[in-house]
Amino acid sequence: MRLGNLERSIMEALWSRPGGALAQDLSQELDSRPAVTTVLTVLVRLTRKGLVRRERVGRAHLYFATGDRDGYVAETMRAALDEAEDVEAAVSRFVGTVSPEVAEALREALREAPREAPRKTPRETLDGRRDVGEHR
Amino acid sequence: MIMWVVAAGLALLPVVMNGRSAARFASARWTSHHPRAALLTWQAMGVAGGLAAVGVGLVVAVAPLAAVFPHGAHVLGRQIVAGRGLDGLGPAQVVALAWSATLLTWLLAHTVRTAVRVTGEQRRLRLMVGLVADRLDEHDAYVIPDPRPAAYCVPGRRAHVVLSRGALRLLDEPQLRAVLEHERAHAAGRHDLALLPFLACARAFPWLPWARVARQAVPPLLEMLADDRARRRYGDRVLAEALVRMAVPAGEGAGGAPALADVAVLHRVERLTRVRPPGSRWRAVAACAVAAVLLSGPVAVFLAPLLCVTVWRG
Repeated sequence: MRLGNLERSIMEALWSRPGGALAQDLSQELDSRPAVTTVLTVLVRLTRKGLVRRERVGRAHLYFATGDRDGYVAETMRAALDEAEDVEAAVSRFVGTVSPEVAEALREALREAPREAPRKTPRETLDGRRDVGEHR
Repeated sequence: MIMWVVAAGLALLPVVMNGRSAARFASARWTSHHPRAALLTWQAMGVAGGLAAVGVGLVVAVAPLAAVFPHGAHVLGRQIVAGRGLDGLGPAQVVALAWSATLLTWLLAHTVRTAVRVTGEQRRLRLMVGLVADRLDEHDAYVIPDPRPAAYCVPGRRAHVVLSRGALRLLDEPQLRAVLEHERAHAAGRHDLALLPFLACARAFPWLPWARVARQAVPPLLEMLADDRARRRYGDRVLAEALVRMAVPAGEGAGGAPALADVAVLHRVERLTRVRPPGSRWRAVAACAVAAVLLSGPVAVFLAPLLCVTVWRG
C-alpha cells in the first residue's frame, strides 16, 4: 500500500498543474526522467486507486489529480480528530479531542501529581522532597 | 436436555443484563488497574453470550431426536447429510433451529460488513498517508504536514504509525518515544482485531444495552493496555505529560457535556499520576473466573457433540 516514490512525485507534478498534464510532459519534467511508458503504467495504477482521472484530448490523454493535496492532508488529520464512528474505528488514536474543561482537568491532574515516578530513586526528586514521603 | 439449556442459558445472563448493570461493570475501578483482565471478561461475556444464544436453539431443536443433547445433534446431523432434512422435528423445534441459524447468519454478516468497512477505511488512509506524509525513518513513522497535534496508528498487517508536525513540535524526545511506543503496542497487539467483534455486535444489536456499553468500554481498555507498555519503558510521568500535551481542546461549536471519550482520557492520566491503591486484584481474578465459568457452559454445548464423534467414536 505504500506509495512508491515515482507515484508520489507524479502526484506532486499533477498537483502543480491544475490544467492537467500529458504523460510526455510528466516524463520530461520529473527529476528521475522515467520513460513515458513507465509514467503511463503508474498513471493507470493511480487512476485505479482513484487519485487520478484522465480526459481524452486528440490522440492522447490529459491527466488530472482528482483531489488536492490539502484535502488529503485534511483527511489524514480527520483520522485523528473526527468523531465519526467509521473513522474512529479505523485507527488507534493516541488521544482524541477533548472539551476545554477536560483539557483543564488533565493539566490539573498532572500538576497535582508527584514530580517523579515512584520507581525513581529519592536522589532524583531534589525539587520535591515531599514526594519521597508520599510514596512510602 | 434441561441441563444443557441451563448451561447455555446462564451464559446469556450477562449479555441480556440491563444497561445499568453493564455500565456499572464498565466503570468498575479495578478495570483501569487490570485492563487485560477487564478485556478478557468482556470477550468471554461476548463469546459466551453468542454461543449460548445460538446453542440454546440447537439444544431445543434436537430434543425429540434423542435423550441427551450430543446424541440428538448427531442424529440431526446424520439425517441432514442423508437428505432426510428435519424429520421428527415439531414446529417449535423448527422455530428454535431457525432462530439459531438466523442469529448465526446475522452475527457473521455484521462482522464481515464491519470488517470490510474498517479495512476499506484503513486502506484509504494508508494511501493518503503515503501520499502526503513524510517518512521519519529514525522513528519508523509518517509525519503529516499539519500544525495541529495528532498521533495515531493505522493498524493492519503493515501498520502505519502517523504523527503530525504539530505533535513533533509539542513533544520532547522522551515523550515522543512514549507516544510511538503506545502506538506500536496497538499495532503489535492487533487491538483493531480485538475491537472488531464489539463494533460488529453493537451494529448487529443496537437495542442491546450490553452491546452498546461494551462497544464504549473496550476502546479505553485497549488504550490502557497500550499505555501500560509505554509506561513500562518510559515511565508514568513522561507518558502522562505526553497525554496532557496531546489532548487537543475541541474548537468552537464542539462544546457541551464531556463525552465518554473525554472521561476516558482523564482516567488514563489519573491512573498514571496516582499511586495505585492496593488490593484491587481479587476483583479482577473473580471477574475472570466468573466469565470462565459462564463460558464453559456454551462451549460444552458445542464441544460435546464434536467430542463424542472424535473421542468416543463407534
